[in-house]
Amino acid sequence: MKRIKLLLASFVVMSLSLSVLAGCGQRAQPIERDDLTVHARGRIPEYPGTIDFDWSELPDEQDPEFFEWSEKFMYRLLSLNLVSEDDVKVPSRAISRGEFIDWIVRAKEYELISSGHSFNDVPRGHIYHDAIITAVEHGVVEADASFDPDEDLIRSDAAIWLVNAAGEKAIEKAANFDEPLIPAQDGYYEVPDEAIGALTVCYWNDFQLMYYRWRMLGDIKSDFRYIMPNDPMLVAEAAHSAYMLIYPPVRGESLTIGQSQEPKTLFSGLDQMSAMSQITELLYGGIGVSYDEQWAIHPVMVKRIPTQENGLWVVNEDENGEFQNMHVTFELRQGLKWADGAPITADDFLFSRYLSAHPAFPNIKTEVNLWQDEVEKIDDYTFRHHWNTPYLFANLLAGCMPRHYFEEKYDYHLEPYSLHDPNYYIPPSEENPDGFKSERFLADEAFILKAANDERYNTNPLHAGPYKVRRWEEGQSIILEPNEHFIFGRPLLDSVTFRTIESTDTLLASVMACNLDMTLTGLTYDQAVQLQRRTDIKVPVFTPSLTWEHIDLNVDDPVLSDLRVRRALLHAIDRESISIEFFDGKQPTAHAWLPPRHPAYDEETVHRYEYDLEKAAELLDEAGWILNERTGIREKDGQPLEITFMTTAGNRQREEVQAVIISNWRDAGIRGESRNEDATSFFTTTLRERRFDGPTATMYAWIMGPTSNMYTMSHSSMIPTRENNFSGQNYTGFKNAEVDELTETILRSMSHAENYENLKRVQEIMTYELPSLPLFYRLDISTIHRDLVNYKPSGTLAATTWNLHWWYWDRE
Amino acid sequence: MLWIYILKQIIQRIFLLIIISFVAFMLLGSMGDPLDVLVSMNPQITDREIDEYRRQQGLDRPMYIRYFYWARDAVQGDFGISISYRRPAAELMFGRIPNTIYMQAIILFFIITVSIPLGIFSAIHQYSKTDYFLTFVAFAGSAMPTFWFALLLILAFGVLPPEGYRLPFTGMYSDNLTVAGRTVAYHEAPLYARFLNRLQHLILPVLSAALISLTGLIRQTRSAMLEVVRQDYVRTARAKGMPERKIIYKHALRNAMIPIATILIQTVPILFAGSLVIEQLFGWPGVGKLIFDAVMSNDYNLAMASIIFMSSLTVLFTLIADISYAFLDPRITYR
Repeated sequence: MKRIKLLLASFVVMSLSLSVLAGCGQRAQPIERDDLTVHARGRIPEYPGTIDFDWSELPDEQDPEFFEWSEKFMYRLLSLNLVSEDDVKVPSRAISRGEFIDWIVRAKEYELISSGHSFNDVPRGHIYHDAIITAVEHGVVEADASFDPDEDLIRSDAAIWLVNAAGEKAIEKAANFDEPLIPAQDGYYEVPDEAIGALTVCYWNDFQLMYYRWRMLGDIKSDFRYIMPNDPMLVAEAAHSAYMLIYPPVRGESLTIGQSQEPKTLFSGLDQMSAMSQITELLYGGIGVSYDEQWAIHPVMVKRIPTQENGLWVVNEDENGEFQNMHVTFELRQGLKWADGAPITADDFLFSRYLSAHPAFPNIKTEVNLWQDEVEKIDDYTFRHHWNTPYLFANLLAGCMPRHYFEEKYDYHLEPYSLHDPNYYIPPSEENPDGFKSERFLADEAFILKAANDERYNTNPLHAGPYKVRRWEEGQSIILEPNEHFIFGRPLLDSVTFRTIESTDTLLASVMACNLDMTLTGLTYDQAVQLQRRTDIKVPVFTPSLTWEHIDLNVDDPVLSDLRVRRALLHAIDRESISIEFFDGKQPTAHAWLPPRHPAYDEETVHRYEYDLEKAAELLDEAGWILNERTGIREKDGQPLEITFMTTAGNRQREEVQAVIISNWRDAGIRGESRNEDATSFFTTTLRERRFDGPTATMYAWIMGPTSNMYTMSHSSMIPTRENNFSGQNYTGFKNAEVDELTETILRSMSHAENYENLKRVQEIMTYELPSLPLFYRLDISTIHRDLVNYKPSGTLAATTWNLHWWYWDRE
Repeated sequence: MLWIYILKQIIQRIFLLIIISFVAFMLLGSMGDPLDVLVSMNPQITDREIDEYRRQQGLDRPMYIRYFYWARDAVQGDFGISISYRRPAAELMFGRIPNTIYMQAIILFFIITVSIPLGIFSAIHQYSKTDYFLTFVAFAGSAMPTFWFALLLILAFGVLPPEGYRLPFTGMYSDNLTVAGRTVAYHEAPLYARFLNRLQHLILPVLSAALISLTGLIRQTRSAMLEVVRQDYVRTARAKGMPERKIIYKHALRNAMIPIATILIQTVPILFAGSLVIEQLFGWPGVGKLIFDAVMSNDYNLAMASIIFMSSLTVLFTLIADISYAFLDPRITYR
């Protein structure tokens, strides 16, 4: 007895002390995605006032989102007393040449002089006369005959001045470039000759004097990111530039990132886990599709991304307008190098394509592989992909692997081959179960397997990204060091370490103990909130992801085939409350299949179903489901309205949400019977083979993306059946002739604009018909140190480290 | 006679291992294959693509045939290539085993050096205040869930103390060390600094992992000692006026060691099996985490290699325990 009492007492004491420890600390404000670029740094006092910025003058084709982002720079300049409220009141107006010179002179704190070189159009007494003369004196502006002080400032001119003002280092750097090196769609051919060096330096990580632009094409945002060198500079951009002139990026220091998973291999293409892509993004440096914070893509190794407009992508049609074939030409930048200093040429792209498309290469081959015919080398810096099937994203596919590394190591030369050539390879089929492998095929196969299992490449791949592996302490950490040959210059941080901590509790403790600067995967929402309560140095960042949580209904069931029942089910779910209850309202409610950030999301055409029990009751009454007052459940022909509600067992958050939905449904007189299964059998059997028993609701997630075409989820041929060998992901059994036609068109379309229109219509039909009940977009949870600058998660599947070579520490 | 007994035991255990490997292989196969994880979230992957991949990886053949091929290679020491790491499974496993052994050896050493003296002390001073206290600690320790205790230690020694006084709690060592005010990479630091750093990293995991076995062993030692102390020959020894120290160490302890030794030997595989929790919590790059991941991601070559290793270990140590009876306890003879 005595012992038990003692034991109990010790537990009470320990639990009490634990809860006291856990409760101390103070609360910090979370960072919203848009605030991430520049943090309050302590050294600039917060501007006391607020300004009602007037954005009405923004040129039509420019994206307002970015310019709103620049508001904090204007506040900062106001705090520094560099500009007045009137100067920045209308941030979307073009800044004049004289005015910007005045800002530069103030930012650099040059002492004003009033006599010196005289421009014929800057009379003494002109408001910016002294500033302009001072700028000439300091070499910011050339001493020409005229200056045009009241004209709009063009961005390429601004770049030249900014570089001159930034000092010796910037000027020297600019002199090194005879070709522009800017990762933007118009960052090569549109750059004026005299500004090649200056513009490149303005977008160089050491200076970051200018930022990118995005373009609106009507209602739709262009897929690319731009610099628009010949457009006028806006006040908002000028504020950013002036600020960066005062506080340029800082080089040095290291960064430690915690992740709850460790990649198994660093051989890109052999695995798809997110912990891996965060690291491979740094090693491979965005050769493939890289989305920025605005979902825009940009060329890295190529001068520009091929499009039909710029003529690099040619679609051939016959006289009836039917697709024949197409080819896409890629122009490589010159001077690209692997991390070992060897040059990167078209041969490396050819090698990569023939390696990864080979049947022996252990990756998952997509249909797209069959649509691509061959790759042709035009010269050392130009190559061309040939296609037999239209594919809207053909311009984004260009893998690159170091040919010299593999071929020298294994003393083998991989020649281009054709999988359509029966003398090379015949795949196994029902008539010919063994297929045919030629001698050359077997030799290629042996080489490719050796390459795929190459130990060095799996643990320390040779590539061309901003970082390379210094050490991999397996199971513990991966330490990266800068790649001196990275095309956009040595990155700012001297080392980046990914530390693997599988237990999320320990991960949280490590963040609190300041052993980690940031976490990318692993922390749960509750833990992020806990962190927020305890420290204000580490800040959680919640980014709505593309993971679309939803409930599928088997619409071929007699009960659920009634549209009114499906709508009542959604009307009865209080999604807002669930989001507030579990995620403080931060997890966005989904009203459609595609997220609001997707260009094909249209607020106006999507049918929304708000929480409305009366409406639900009305719909169910109409459908003949009458409330049985005694049981509280609706009935029709003596049958209660009962729905089997399935999801993955063991996912605590999902199960909690499920319980709330069941209770929501109960309020509407619907009985939800939960029947959860472990994830493997749920996905591979129940869903895939549609083993539903009566009316069934299944809750799980799809990852939607910028390239989602909805075909496999909604086309009637994609309903898995025994006849089609259970292929397709249309688990609801939804059939709609118009959706079929639209998604087929989308699959074959060669126009983004047309696609978006069609996807909008698909969304409209799907949200009207409701084969699935959209619930939420899950939150991506990361935490960062508040002094780390330039963390800009894109909210796509792309790694959040996509711009890490621009990150730096900005401490007090 | 003894050798025949040992030989019989060995043959028995080899059969046991074969059965284990077969059952494990079938179980792993029935849990799905490495593709499930990839397919479950991506609506864009079609079945044709999946079948293609399966055939390429040899996953389309029936289970028993796959087992046969696997066993044929395994007997020759080839455990195949890990499908997710793209490296030989055996190599991966043997890369991690030293880390686990390193920690477990220290835990075992810690357990022995702490629990046996404490147990003896407790037994000799039965019903004293110290005995009560040690018994209480032993009970509390075995009642406490390891991961909870570990988190408590992390919080108390790793998070709450002011900077500079915190104990590290992830990994085997730090990536960077501060030597004489300068930050250097671990592998470039002087030997003493690396040794110190490794030592620091051991404190919390060893304390948390040792707790249960430690407290158990204190109680076992105590009761074994108490049992022996009551024996007639101890009374006889006392009666003939032998000094108390000699009675305890020469007569009592040697006899009490028989059950304790077997318990200790059997603790080793248990420690290995339990290493997963500690390794996960403290980010220790051991074999436990590797096995767990391999099973969860259906990486069957790696999972099989580790299951075979772990079961061999358990089988080996039970064999050692059985044989050690013969040497430790003269009353046991084998016929």
